[in-house]
Amino acid sequence: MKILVCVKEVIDPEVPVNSIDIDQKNWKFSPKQGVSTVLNGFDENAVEAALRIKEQIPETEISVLSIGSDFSMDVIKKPLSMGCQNLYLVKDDELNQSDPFVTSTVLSNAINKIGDFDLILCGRHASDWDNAQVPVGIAELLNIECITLAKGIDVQDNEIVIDRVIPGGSETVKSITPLLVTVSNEYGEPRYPNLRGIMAAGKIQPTTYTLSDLGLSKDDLKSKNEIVDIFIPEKKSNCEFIEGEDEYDIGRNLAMKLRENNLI
Amino acid sequence: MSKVLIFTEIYENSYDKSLLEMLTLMDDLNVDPSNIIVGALGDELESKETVLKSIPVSKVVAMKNNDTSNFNPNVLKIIAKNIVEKTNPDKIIIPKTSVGQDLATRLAYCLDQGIVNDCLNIEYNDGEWLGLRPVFGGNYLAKVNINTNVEIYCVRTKIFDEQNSNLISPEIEYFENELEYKTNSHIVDRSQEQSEGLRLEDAEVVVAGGRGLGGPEPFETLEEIAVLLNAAVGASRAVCDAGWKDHSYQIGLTGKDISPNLYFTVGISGASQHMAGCGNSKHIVSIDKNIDANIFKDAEFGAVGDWKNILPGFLDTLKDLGKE
Ligand SMILES: Cc1cc2nc3c(=O)[nH]c(=O)nc-3n(C[C@H](O)[C@H](O)[C@H](O)COP(=O)(O)OP(=O)(O)OC[C@H]3O[C@@H](n4cnc5c(N)ncnc54)[C@H](O)[C@@H]3O)c2cc1C
Ligand SMILES: Nc1ncnc2c1ncn2[C@@H]1O[C@H](COP(=O)(O)O)[C@@H](O)[C@H]1O
Repeated sequence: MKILVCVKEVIDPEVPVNSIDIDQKNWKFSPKQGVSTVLNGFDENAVEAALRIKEQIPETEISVLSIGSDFSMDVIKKPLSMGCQNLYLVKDDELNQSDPFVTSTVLSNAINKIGDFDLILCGRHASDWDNAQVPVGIAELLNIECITLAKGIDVQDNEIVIDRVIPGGSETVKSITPLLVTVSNEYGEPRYPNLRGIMAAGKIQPTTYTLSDLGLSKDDLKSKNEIVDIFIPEKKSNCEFIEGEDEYDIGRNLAMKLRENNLI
Repeated sequence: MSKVLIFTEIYENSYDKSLLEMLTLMDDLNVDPSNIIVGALGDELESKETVLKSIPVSKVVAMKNNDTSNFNPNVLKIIAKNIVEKTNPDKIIIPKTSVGQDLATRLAYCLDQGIVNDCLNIEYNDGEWLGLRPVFGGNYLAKVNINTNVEIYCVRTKIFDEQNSNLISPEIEYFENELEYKTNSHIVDRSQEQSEGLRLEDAEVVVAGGRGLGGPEPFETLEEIAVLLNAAVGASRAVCDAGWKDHSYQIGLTGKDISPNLYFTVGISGASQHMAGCGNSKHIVSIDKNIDANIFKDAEFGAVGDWKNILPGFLDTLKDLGKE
């Protein structure tokens, strides 16, 4: 089985707002000095899902694809150190990653160039632009089906059985390859790379493409959307802190306060 | 004047109530009600005429002989595309339900038109609509303008009030389906977790716990409080990832969107991705030992300290108040 996992390097989503610079002209987020980037969390779940399929079907080959303007090799090679075999990178300085149409066009062209895959795995959502749209876009452009929010993937011959998250429960979907599946955190914790994996990853050279290698020009990558403004939402920040003689008393006073205000 | 098509899901005995929230938004945007068409999505719609007739707009359209195979998005997108081609709207609104969010992007690609996903609001600016959506986990908001002929907005639910649904008995038009839809993906099973009591999304009061609770056991105290307050229990992602509570309890950007009257949190730090799902609560009240925790930026009342000592005082008082 040939699996492709699409991964993205993002600014660590746990850092405070003021650790990020936004370029108000091109609407690019960049980390301030000393702020780290990480592999998008859900993409690690997708890598984990691919690796578990490989455990079940050892002849599986897992390739990883990412597009971006800048890569930090420590971050982008993490899927290799977790156990994936190949890495493909598409690098372009000016890529507008805020528009899922642009990103999915580049990714689908790259996929067509790299080869045929039985299964394409993506994260459910990238934590920088919060689009949650690129995977559907890739599938539409490749004309294959897409199943979102997997928490379990079971490969049986050429049938794929997906357990997916729905509000308040789950749903089982049967499909066939080729197929694109987005993976959610409910899938389970991604593994940590071990030393052997890290050594092996060090030896793998990524294959790097430019947009023109993929036959794409600026005209192919016109945005359908235009960002007019990005701002930090205002918070009221006028919390009234409840006092008391001790913590038990604070608890009492909190309940009284809620009653006085008709909240309970 | 732009023509707006709003998609809604039709179930056995009713339409999805998020439609009423979308109608409030249309009102806010001064859309003339006669320019609103509702596109009905669901199975065997011809036999659900009473439901269709109860939709409070002047026109409802649906596809004939329609089988969505259980709201399978790979089928729905074709049905929706068909409805769009028959009705020629300038703007399409899709409520961000679990079906809607799976449909919206697919439809945008099928039509090759622009979309703003996860809109918290739509603003009117000089003849243009601007979609307001969270980016970077809700730390920022972006205003987005769509450049294509048709504009698609997938709009967050539980933000707008439901418009009063005065009955007007809409005109209903059925279309013949002209596109072929086949899918390789089949929904073979659907299981709903036993929900004890209130649904999180519907509760007027939600009591939620975070990593600060330290384990699954303290949730028993939260459940006790919830019973007294007629509340539902929720949790942060940290709690669900740790397995202390099932993921169906998760509130936030990648969990449930809620907007109760009272959101009461214990040991939740208030990360932007959490607040993205509950920031619209009318009143937030929080217990946390860290006075600098983000949650206090949203909270109206706060209690700073160890929940192990605060909750007993809170619970005893609730019981006393209940006896009065
Ligand atoms: C793309 C993405 C999507 C995400 N989606 C979601 C989502 O949908 N929902 C969600 O919740 N999170 C989500 N997260 C995770 C989010 O960023 C936070 O990591 C998470 O919300 C933290 O959970 P918490 O507040 O329970 O834990 P923490 O941040 O660890 O907070 C624990 C709090 O408990 C307090 N505390 C500790 N001990 C005590 C005590 N004894 N008494 C009182 N207080 C105490 C601490 O002071 C602290 O404020 C997402 C993250 C990403 C990157
Ligand atoms: N630049 C990128 N390179 C590779 N994969 C990406 C990129 N952007 C998005 N993806 C994939 O699409 C998923 C959802 O991203 P998004 O639609 O941007 O929220 C991610 O989890 C990745 O799997």
